[in-house]
Amino acid sequence: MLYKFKSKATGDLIMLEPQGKQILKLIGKEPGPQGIILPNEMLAAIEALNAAVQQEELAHQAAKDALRDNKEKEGATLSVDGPRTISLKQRVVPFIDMLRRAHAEDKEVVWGV
Amino acid sequence: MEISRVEAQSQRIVQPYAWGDAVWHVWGAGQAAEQALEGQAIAVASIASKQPLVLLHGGSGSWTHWLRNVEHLAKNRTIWALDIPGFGHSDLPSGVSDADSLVPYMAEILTRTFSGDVVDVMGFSFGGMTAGLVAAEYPHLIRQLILVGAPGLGLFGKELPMRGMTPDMDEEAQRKVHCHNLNAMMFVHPDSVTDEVIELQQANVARDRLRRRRIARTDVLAQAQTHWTCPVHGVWGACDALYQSTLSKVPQVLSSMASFTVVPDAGHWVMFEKPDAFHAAVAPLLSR
Repeated sequence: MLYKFKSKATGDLIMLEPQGKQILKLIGKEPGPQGIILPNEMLAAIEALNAAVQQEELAHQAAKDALRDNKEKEGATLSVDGPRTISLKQRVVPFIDMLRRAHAEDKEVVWGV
Repeated sequence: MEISRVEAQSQRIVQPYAWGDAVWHVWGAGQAAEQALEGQAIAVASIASKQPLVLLHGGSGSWTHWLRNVEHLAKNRTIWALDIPGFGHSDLPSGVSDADSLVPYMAEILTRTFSGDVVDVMGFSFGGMTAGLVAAEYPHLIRQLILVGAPGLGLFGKELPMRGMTPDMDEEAQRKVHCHNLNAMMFVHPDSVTDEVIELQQANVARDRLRRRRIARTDVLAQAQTHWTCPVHGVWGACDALYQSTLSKVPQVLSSMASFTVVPDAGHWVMFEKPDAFHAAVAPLLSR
């Protein structure tokens, strides 16, 4: 399944199911097949996403620091980055922009309709 | 004419390589590009105050594929629009016949122009596919990649109803063929095809020296994505003729993309047909 987010203020944003679900959960929405984000919910949603991004960055930094400490102790050569992962920050950038623009024009964002 | 006006604001940089010349047009660089023009600096991009953004055009194109975008994008970035080797005014390296064989030459151009530093790249159609292959093979060169209507995903259905040109055609007949082909592939609105666009197309097609390219129809880009290390975003026109019934499959096939935005009411050549909506779609991707 795909999540197709639509708004009269912007183009469509299409996400794979796991990513769409993750973002909807972060902003406190039921990740069902259909839904709506009202303009008066958008600022809180943007804040929630920014907070989640910050949290992820802190966790990533902490993991890096921990690994560096371990390396220094044991001389290990592990890398925290490992195989490529796309950060939440990368994923939510266009979604946050969509919410901002929809909010500015007082239009809702919908999916599955 | 619009091309002359926009080009007059750019600095044209011709870089000689062992295989021939590569031609850039640069907007918003100020002094940096002038120094490059004088041959004093190779690390030109590092001097510029605004972050560079490389633009790669589509097949049978040149920098003019970005005609309606360079001025806007240059407000926040130094815009480096390349004529890809074998197109526009850039030479064709011997042995190059398609996107895959262009990869080492593109890597050489990026390395030399940006002193081996990572750079943001936005590639349209053939240029997006080529950039995606470069990002897979030379991940240290690209910081972020934006694909615009890129092929190479194995999602093409039946052939588009394109018309061919024959040597006996007069000027008017040739214009009609270009007009038909632009409507069939590049645009969704017939009134997007103005006389000026036909002239732009004529000039670009005449300089296309990679006419036997084939791999856009394969899934070469989908395969390459496993090697990407930089964030890759996708921006497609909602009415892209190449993805008529397969647009929603793009984010599934290119599952490594960080985001996929669709610009409404626009065809394949999305940034030309709907420049404002396109600029709005890429703005958040380019803001960091």
